[in-house]
Amino acid sequence: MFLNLKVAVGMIVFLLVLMAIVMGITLIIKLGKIRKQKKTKQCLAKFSGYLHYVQTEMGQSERLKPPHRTLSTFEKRVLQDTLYRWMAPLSGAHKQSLLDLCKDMGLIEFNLKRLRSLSHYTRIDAAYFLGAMESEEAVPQLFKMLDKNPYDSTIFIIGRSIAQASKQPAEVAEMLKYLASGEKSTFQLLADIGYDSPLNLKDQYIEFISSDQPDLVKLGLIRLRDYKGEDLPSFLSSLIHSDDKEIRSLTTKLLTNHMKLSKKDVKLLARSSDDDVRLHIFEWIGDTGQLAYADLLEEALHSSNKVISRVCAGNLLKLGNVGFSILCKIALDNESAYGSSIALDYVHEELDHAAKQRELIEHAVDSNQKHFIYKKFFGKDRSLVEAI
Amino acid sequence: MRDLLLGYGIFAMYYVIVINSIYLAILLFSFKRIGRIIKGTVFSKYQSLAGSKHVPPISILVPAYNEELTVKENVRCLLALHYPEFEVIVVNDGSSDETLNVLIDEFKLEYKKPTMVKNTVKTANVRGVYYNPDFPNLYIVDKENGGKADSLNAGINVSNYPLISSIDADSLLEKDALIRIARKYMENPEESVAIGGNVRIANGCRIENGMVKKVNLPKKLLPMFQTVEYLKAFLGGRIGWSEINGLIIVSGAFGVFKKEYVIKVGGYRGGYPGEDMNIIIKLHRYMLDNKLPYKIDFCPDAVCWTQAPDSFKILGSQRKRWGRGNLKNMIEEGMYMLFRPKYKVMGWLTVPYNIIFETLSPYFRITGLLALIGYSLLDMSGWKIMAVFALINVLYGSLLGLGSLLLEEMAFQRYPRIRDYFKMFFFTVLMFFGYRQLGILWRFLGQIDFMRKNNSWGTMTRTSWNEDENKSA
Repeated sequence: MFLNLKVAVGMIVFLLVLMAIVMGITLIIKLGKIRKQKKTKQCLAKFSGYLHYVQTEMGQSERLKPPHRTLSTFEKRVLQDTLYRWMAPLSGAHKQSLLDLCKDMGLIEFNLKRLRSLSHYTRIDAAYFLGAMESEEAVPQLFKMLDKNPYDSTIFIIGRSIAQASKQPAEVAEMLKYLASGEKSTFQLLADIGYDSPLNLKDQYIEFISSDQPDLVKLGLIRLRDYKGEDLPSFLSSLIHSDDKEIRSLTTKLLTNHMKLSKKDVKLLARSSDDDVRLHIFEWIGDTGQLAYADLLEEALHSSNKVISRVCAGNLLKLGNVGFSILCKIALDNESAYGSSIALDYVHEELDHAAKQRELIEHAVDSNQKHFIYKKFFGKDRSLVEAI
Repeated sequence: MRDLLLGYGIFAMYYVIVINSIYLAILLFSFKRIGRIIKGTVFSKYQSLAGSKHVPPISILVPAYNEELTVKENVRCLLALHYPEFEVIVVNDGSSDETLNVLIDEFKLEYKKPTMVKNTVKTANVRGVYYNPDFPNLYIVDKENGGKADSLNAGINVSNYPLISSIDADSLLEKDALIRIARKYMENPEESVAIGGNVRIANGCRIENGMVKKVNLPKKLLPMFQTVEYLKAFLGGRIGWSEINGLIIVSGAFGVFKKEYVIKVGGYRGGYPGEDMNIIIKLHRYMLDNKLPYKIDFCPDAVCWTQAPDSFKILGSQRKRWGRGNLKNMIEEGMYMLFRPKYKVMGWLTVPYNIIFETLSPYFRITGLLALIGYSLLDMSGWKIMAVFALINVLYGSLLGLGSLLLEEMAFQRYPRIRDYFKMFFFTVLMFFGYRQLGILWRFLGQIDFMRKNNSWGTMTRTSWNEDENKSA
């Protein structure tokens, strides 16, 4: 026959037992969470007076006093969560007084012990809070943990904690190097993790850009943008010829950011085969009002790439009346049908925009000038041109 | 004859047991991964990431066809997302209602010639782009009707960023949904080509200003069935499939894609429903054909709320569309990958599973049921065997549903009340008495439509948000 009824009934019993177990586990978790919420509420109510004291006194010169009585593990965790929530958006004296309080309350020792827990979740939880409490003494243990941890999302949590806790730039650099060694192109995330360190890491980032690890080079190029006005290594310009497209693009961004490009470089980059690089250069010309490079925008406006044409037109407008005149000229030239039509669209849009702003005295002169330039090129006003 | 009918009926029941067993294996993969998901969710600093300049910018594409009732609220919801740099591109797909005018009035948009539209992917004619500098990251593209896939392609042509996100106009994203997906992407940007979000049913929830303010279970029968069905599919299924890189679909309601690869595979395929499954199969194929390392992932903590159909007519239309889309995708793409070693998990597991246990499932199940009915009419002496098999299937299916509810409880707890749990459990069991059979019938009818080349969209009616809650109140 097709089946043994006894086996089938056994299967039914087995399924029912499994269902009961799954339901039981779910309900235990659910009830546990409800209970925890209740206990948390009670705990917060118990410490409401103390928490009020912390809120009103934080940021003062006097160190905040920890609660008088010894705290249970649960109470420590509830207070830790609350203090963390308050601390996260703060900086300066307010944050420092909460950091001191965490130390005085024994929360650092509490989490250092939890770092040795058998449960991975507890260890990650402890690492997270130790980072938030900027606990320097936790760094060696966090490094050990980093080393043993599989390369998954939790590794970035530990890395962030090291960035927050360490007082040594070399340690942060070591952590970033370690995370970058995963070769997963995570340099944007690493750049964000680097922000969590309050230290000046400029020398480390400079060292990164001479590394043979592309992710580290990219990380260095990104982060050095934040050290505006400071000297950059002379070999940086050579990276605009890198084989890696992203490195070329990031180098361009860094050099424009620091205004370290020669005329020759700008011309070279404006004619680069990388659209990303070209777009960035054109944006930079417009944003920084580099009138000397208006001819590069004029040239690229005739590009067959619609995006580049539009970006050039938009950035010519940012160059004021000079750029507007160039757009009028291109619109009339008809050198390339698409370029001329884009230029004409932008000219008309700008005139509309200027007309709307005319009522404001400060824009009236600008609007009149634009209409004057338009008439100069087209010989008549806009409605006539449109009619033609 | 009697034995033949009984034999076939029992074969069909074994078939269902095998489906459930494969599903159980996938569920176990979901359990394997859930710990990592919880840690990533709890300890990732979304708030600071949402303000970071290193998060990749995203173009959100919203195809809209006759969405006048919900589109305004949805766009407002999207504009308020916690994300550093993004643009919202709503594509009005030749709506016959006031969708376009509602948006123009709401956001004071002005017409622009469609010169900014690139020709990256072919689409129906774009009539214009509407824009207001006061909403610098909002673009409305007005085009002739061409379907959802065509609208997404038009959105790609307007988009300025390397990542695109497809979102249904009848869906609401949670504020941090995009940043949660971005976090996942940033952990493996090289290999992530698509990441799907978790779709949940919004019927019954309290919604204010385009945001879900209070999560409730639906009051109506059909949305309630869909709630447990979605939980099972997304938590029990997709987490597991993504663990083995065998995900075959990223829901059209919410997913993020690397634009570069979507363009490389020719954009979204129009003409048939199921474009969300089609694009994912094409991405798998492209990456495996070119031996590129890749991952198609699922991010269950990135949540999108959607309106579930609450009438048999609309639900039937939706399920028939799904049936049509699935069949088309299996014929067009799946057959090519079936049992081919170079397609790895896709070729050996995902596609065979889909063809044998999803596409062909209506035929086995319906004929199996008919055989058992025929057998009963001839002689009822084997009723015990039938009852035992039926019970095994119901219990097995319910166990899988309970497993998904456990995953929900472990990681997300969107329904914290105990009575909600029992209500969901009740519907998990109840769905085996009519609802599942109806779903199979609709799928079958969808396939018949496909064979008869009936490719109409079917009934689609939107209701404004909160209607379900208001009515029940």
